[in-house]
Amino acid sequence: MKKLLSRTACVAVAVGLALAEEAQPPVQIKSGTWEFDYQTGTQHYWGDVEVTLPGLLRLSCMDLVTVQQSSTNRPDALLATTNVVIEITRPAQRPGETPLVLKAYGDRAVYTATNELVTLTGSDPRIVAPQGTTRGKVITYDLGTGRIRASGGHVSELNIDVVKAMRRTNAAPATATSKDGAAPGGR
Amino acid sequence: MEGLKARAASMAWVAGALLLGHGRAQETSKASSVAAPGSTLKDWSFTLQKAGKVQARFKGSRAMPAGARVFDVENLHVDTFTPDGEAQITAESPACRVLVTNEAFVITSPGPVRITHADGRFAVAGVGFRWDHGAGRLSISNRVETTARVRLPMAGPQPRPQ
Repeated sequence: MKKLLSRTACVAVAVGLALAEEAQPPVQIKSGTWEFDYQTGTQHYWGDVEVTLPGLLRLSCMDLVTVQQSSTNRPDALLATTNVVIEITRPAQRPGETPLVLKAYGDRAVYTATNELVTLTGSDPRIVAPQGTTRGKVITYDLGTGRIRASGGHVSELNIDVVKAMRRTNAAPATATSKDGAAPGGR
Repeated sequence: MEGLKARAASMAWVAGALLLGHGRAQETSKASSVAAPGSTLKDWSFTLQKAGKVQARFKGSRAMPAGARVFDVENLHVDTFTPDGEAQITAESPACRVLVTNEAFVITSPGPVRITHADGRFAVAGVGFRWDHGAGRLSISNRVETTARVRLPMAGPQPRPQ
């Protein structure tokens, strides 16, 4: 059952992110201050930074650095620090369905294009999904595979409603923990 | 007599500006090249060249020389170009100070500014800015709003099954 839950959460995250990519409108960024080094392609935003991809993605932090080569429209690297909150919304697919919202928290979020990894670290980094919450000292999300891995005191807290639904067909504990970093959404 | 004095002052200003410019910064406006400090130039324009290639074109509805190669400009519009001659960055500011050096420029203002990248990748607006083209740095100090057409990192369509 743990595997099933993990797979469900993983699919939800991946589908939500994929939808965001397909329909990407312009990204809005608000900040107190902005600096652009157009020789290196580095943009630095600081002071109550809010990144919004309307209806799909919100990121807030105190400091954000992006590095982008001029030949692409994708950032090579992103570094968000201090009170990082990433919120991903998957729009409802059918009438009456509620949008799926996933939130990631950390003091520091790093994305590198070379390996397509987003790494959350800092004080109590976690990913909160309707299925439950994944915690660990380091949480890594692989954008290429959709894998979420948590290491260092990893804890997965499953939503009790999900557990109840699962108990109808299979008994399950309300909280699952592991030491190796397998997380809801991980493989 | 007064007219002759004024003309002599203007000529001295032009000579000083040319000496400081080493012939690289080219003023394209006749009006600006005959202006003395304290005077006002209407429909001011200025082209900055490096190694014979246009680096930037400036236009302003009015400009007041504020020193050697320094202008206080109203309704500034600047276009910069890459060494290949491609359009790069455009900036507009209702009031700012422009300092032109031999091969670059610095623009500063406590007021509003709007900057767009020529390829439409981003547009940014805010209040209070400094643009040091020689260092390749642009900064806006307050109330910054950026619109960027970039692909944020997103996941692939489906994870592989376990």
